[in-house]
Amino acid sequence: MVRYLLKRAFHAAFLIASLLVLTFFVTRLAPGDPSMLYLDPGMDPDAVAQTRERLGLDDPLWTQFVRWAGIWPPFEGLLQGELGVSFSKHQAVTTVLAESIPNTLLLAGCALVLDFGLGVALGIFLAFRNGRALEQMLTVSSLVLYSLPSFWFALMLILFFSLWLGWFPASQMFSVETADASFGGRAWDLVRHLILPVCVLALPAAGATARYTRNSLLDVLRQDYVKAAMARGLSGRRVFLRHALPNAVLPLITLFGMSFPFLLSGSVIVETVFAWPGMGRTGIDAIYARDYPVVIGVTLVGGVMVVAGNLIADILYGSADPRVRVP
Amino acid sequence: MPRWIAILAVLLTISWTFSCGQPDVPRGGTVVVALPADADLLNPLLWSTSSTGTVLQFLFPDLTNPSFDTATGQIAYSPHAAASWEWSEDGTALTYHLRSDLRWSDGHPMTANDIKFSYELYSDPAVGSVRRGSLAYLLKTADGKPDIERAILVPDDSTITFRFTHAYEKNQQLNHTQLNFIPKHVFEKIPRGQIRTSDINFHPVGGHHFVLGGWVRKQEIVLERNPDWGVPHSAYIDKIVFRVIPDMTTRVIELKTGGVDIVEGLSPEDARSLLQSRPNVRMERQSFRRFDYLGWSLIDQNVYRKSGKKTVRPHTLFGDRRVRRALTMAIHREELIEGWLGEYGQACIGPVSPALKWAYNDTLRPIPYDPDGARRLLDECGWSDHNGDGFLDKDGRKFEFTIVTNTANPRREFAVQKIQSDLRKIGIQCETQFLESNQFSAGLREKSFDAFVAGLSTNLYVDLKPQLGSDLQKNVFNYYSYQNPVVDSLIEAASSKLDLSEAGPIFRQIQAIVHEDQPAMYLFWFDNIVGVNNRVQGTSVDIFSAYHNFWNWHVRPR
Repeated sequence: MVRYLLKRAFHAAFLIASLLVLTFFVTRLAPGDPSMLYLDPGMDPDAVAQTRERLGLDDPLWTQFVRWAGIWPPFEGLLQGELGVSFSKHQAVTTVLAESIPNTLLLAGCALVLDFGLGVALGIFLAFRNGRALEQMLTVSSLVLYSLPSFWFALMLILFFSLWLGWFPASQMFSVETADASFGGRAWDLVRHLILPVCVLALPAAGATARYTRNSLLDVLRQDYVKAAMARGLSGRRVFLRHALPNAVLPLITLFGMSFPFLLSGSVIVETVFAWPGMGRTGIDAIYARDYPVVIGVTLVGGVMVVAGNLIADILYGSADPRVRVP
Repeated sequence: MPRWIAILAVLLTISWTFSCGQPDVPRGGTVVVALPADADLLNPLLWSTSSTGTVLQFLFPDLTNPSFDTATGQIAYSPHAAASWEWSEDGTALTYHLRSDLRWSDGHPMTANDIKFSYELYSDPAVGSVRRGSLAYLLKTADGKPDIERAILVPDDSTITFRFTHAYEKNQQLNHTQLNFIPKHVFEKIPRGQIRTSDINFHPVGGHHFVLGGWVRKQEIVLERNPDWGVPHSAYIDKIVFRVIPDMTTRVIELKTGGVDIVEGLSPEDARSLLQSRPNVRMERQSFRRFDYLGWSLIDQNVYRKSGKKTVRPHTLFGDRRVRRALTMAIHREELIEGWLGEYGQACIGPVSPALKWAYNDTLRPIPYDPDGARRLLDECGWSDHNGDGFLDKDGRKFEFTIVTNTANPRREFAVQKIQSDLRKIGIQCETQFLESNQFSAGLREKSFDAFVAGLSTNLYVDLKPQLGSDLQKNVFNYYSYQNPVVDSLIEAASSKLDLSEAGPIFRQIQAIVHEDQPAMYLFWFDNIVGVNNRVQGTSVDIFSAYHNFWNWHVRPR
């Protein structure tokens, strides 16, 4: 197992390093210039040139690369754990990311719980109502939900629940009014702010999860060992809980591993519409500002999460199914 | 009631009235302002985004407070941190006398040394301020750099003298000495090369009506009233919260639901919708400050770039000013304005704001829409449909080009499509291209486009050199590569005048020449529409800013 993990870690490190090198060159070769941020009619005519010089953008690309990677003096680059300083925020990239990552993890984590909680429950319900009108109606509904563009869905929820009904706030993590509230008051305020963005992220995904669960469960329920268990006189509840469900959720482990990065990428739009101060917005802002160090930092975090999600899914799958147990 | 108590009561009332401003104005409360982006750093030396500039004006003081005389279009300055000022007899030195009761938010006295030190930092390349251009008129060293030691004199803590290279218009001199200043006792402890990454940028020691109460990155900036600042009077509200909401639709919804009180940059459509559906929201406008224009490349930009920015040749299509005039005649500007801006836009004939009445040439009229006249004029230039394909051509070359603008700007996208449609009617094939803003700016600067729709925010002191000056490398906003030695000499002549009444006729002459040359079709002035919840009163959205004189804001309790 340890050897397997080391091997996977090595592959993951290679994958992420390749991703970062690729991102480094793609961002720098893309059109646009970070010094454009300072363009203003009242500025010093030499300001753009000075800004480029200060940011090291006048150096040849390979010089910038070896300095960024930390394989050339002063050895203060990626290999030494230095992600650099944000061009636009003037803070260490690690600080910028540290402010954003918890907010995105909170949002994506809640969305993941709702996605799988609702999706699995709905999938089981659909499997047991297979072929009935209600099942077909819910199936169509979940497909419609899955195909909704997230920005449109987000705006519709804001219009309905914030503007018309006034139930939930339209943006941000906290209300101005609760700045001095108790811990409980702040926590409740946070929950109210979480509901709409979590729904936008989770409901379409829950539709897909429900479809996976339904199909998987129907497959399992048709298996001989389920029929044999029923024939032996075991109760339907016991057959379902002990034999059918554990096997039906196996494919969902893979789906779970893939969902987390999917939710992270989905949070880019959701965070922008709901003004949620997470990593997705940090990445978008950095791209528009040509803030190369932050773009690479966000790529690094995203890459690590994708790799980690897959690794966790593999390990969980192996633990749950002896046939594919990891060495 | 004993007589002495009555007298005391009257005296107290009078004292309170004079110390606190208007006595009947409600005090306290919070105003919530929506920002499209977070501030980058709260440092007047180094800020770069408009959101940061918005927040900084609440935290750092100005020497004077400008006001705009709409009758003359001139700016008048009233005392603020400076109690008074005067000029030397030869007009080359400006001396401010500061108030003696001003303090930074940490209690340290605010003195003239703070101002001089700030200008030292602005001028120091190690600090890397992009506002060094504002020091261009101060005395210089032999190698042309600002000589702060000679240019700024501090005879005592409350007196500071700025010395200029030459005498020029007095309001301009006031304007050139309005850079925000920072506390010397705080910044002198930080190595200059490290100011940009210093923690002080996120916990500023300010000195104005408000101090930083809290800053949660990408969420909100909370400013609390500074009880020690009373110029011209203490602010009426206790707190301002800037909420960062990147999406405009969400900002509008927050304005509708009362989640925020002030949103600027509303689209005309949103403004009309708000006015119809929300009686508790009013619209205020900042007019004649920003315009969009359709720029033509006057030079063959490919030849220019390939020659290392040395060879200038007229553009094949747009090098002839008769062609440019014909193109302007072919575009229905009124429909364009009516189609998108409506009452929130006005026709534009040049880069000088109509609000600046002392400089604006009100005898000029927009070139009228006349597609038949445009066709005739193009025919005179040799552009006709010789091969009968429905498009104009000349010497075998079809009249076709691409107009480029930036994405995420529906106003410009609408303009480009309307222009494309109008030009098609006279036989010109025009493609459109939309580029992400940073890429678009880089393309403008590199002179990569034949035609483009861009915009500018005008300088209130009429500085036309950056956009019309012939030196294409120095004047970075001359995207159309306009070169006219007469205009150059007139710009120089205007800048040397000591009085606006002498500079005004020269600027009017420049506008007439530019109107004839049509280096661009100046499309329209568009208002910065500011939605304000009626619970906030005392706002004065004007040509300076949406937040001007914010110390007069007052609110009904939330």
